[in-house]
Amino acid sequence: MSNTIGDFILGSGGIFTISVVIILFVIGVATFMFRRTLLHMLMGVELMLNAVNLNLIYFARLHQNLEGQMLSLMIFVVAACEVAVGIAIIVNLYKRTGTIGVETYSEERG
Amino acid sequence: MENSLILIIVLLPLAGALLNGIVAAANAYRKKEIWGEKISGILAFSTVALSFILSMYAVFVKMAGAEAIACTPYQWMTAGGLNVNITFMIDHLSAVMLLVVTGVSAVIHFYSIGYIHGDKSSVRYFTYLNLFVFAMLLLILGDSMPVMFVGWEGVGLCSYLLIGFWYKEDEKAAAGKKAFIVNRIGDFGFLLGMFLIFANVGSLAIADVNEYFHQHNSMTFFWTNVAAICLFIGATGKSAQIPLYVWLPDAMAGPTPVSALIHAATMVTAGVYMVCRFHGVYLAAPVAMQVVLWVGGLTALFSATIALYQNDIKKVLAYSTVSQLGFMFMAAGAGAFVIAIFHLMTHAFFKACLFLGSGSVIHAMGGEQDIRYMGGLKKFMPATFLTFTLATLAIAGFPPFAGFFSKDEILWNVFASGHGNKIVWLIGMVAALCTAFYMFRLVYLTFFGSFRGSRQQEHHLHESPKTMTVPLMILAALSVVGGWIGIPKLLSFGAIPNYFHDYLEPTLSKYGHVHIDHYSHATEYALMALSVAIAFAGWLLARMLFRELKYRLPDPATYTGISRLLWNKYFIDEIYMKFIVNPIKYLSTNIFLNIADKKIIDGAANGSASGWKWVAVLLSFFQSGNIQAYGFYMLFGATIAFIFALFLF
Repeated sequence: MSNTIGDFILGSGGIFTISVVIILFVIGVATFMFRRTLLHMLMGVELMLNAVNLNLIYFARLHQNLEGQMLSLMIFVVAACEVAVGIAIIVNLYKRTGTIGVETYSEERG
Repeated sequence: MENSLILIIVLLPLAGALLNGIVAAANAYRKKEIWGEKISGILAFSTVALSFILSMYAVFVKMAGAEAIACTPYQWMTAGGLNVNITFMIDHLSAVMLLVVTGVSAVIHFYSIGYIHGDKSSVRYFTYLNLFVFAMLLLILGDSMPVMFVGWEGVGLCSYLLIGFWYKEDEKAAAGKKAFIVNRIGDFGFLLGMFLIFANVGSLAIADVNEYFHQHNSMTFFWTNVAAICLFIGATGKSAQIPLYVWLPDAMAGPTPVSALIHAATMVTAGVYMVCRFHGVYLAAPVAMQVVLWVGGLTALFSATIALYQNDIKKVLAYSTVSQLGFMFMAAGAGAFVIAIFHLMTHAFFKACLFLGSGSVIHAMGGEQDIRYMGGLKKFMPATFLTFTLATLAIAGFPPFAGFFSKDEILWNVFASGHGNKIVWLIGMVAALCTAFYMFRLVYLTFFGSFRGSRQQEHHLHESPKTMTVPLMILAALSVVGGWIGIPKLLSFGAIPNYFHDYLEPTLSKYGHVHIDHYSHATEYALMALSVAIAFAGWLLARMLFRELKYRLPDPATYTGISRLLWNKYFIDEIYMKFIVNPIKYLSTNIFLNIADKKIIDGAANGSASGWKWVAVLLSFFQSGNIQAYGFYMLFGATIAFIFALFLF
């Protein structure tokens, strides 16, 4: 079963996987850049990370070594941490100002 | 290490200086004395005295029969073809210098213990004094030009520190600064000479340099002479010759033992020593030899005439020193290097004695240095009087005192040598006459007649303590007998060998002999008689004028004509001020400070600062505070990087 899906993916010359990766990544970028709430932007970041993960895993499979997979495991861990910290910050910001609209937070203007 | 004895000789004074220096610093820091003048003085004296004893051992026992001994404790630098070792070498020339320097230094250190008594910063004084001896030994024993140069600069530094020893008085601090700056000008010449020699010889070891100029000189006649003259410019700075002599009279602001040690006996003779050390170079450069001869002769006469009218006891001696150094250069310029060193040695004895004697007088007078207010000191300070007179007889050239032999030999060589010159000889004779005159003027005004100072000073008059009179006696004895090791064959009819000549001649004629024109013995005797007659003439003239001073010496302000010119030292200081110092000051303030520094350099610094400020204002537009804009920049940058990676690599 898994072999069939794997064969399909590899057999397609990577077009399928790479397309999925690119679509995911672009969705992530678009989410980050155009959604106006911090929560959505965080989700966009996660999408981008997952696109990268998928990419790594695909190429690890293609080249028949495990380093890519190991790296993607690391990215999972980092992403989890990032989400935890990010959401904590967002919750606190919400408690302070009552909004998580990104345009509210522009104190860093030079 | 072979001959590590030499290393000990050099390092002993340094050890004394370090120890005293640390204590001086600690004393100042803790505001109470760890040890005072007594211990530091004894320490300083004993290191130098030990150095002297070891030097004697090294010269007379270890070196007996040998031409030279050397010791290389350290390889200083190796770069390409350049290889400089720190090598200390004692050959016959440096042996003489070594003994004179350590010996006279030891005596003067001892004298200093009495002289500096009661001064609050005596520990600092002894630190400098010891450091000076160390630097001087580097200069003398260094076997290569850089090591010699380190010593050369070191003695300059110590001279500066000691002239400005009482730095709280502006005038003395300024004198120190003047000495330093004038010396720097000379040092620049020395450096240029060194570079020029290195560029052609490819080695800086003194023996190599002399050998090169003697054997395979591939430099053109012009550049050979330029190199030798550059070195001589260094010598004019250190040894106070025209045109750089102006610092020496001002240097008398320092403590008197310093004047005796540094500005009479040792440091100022470094230039003469250097010329003799590089005699191979000078023998290859006849024009430079002529320059040395003429500068020496003119300086001798010039400063001797100035000394005729000075009223400050130390100033007279200072100009006398300049004049005597001129004599030494005359000898060197005539190719009589042995005689130059001989006069250097005898001069070290009698001039140190004179300076220490004047220190004793000043001590008794409570700081008064003007001979118009002295007089009749003979009966108050018999020991000082006796030694001072003996040294005066020596410098005036009375036989059989030390100065007679050396000065007479100089004049004879200038007269007869192939490099010599009858006109310079005449100049030297006149200078010798002036020397005898001003020295006896000094003696008569100081020690004879009746006391012309205040009642209070008269009450205070006393003979100096033993620590001061014993060195005086030693030096006076040396001024008497010091010349006897170099009695010319002609005078002793070959009965007594000319030890000094025989000792130095092999070392100093390695690179060729100087031709001496042939004259009959009668001529030689006649010249000798003439120089004695001149000494007597100077003495009698001074005796006639100043023996019993019945009149008040005129106020210098009323001088006119030639006496005004001489009293004002030919207005040389004023001329230098007007034509050199002030233009440089003008150039410095108006061009280098106000335009180059304030406008160009500050302008560039401030301009770039405000320029970047405006750039920052423009760039801050991008820092909008909008996180999503930042995301966009990032994406943009990443895309650019991606494109670069894809298409350019």
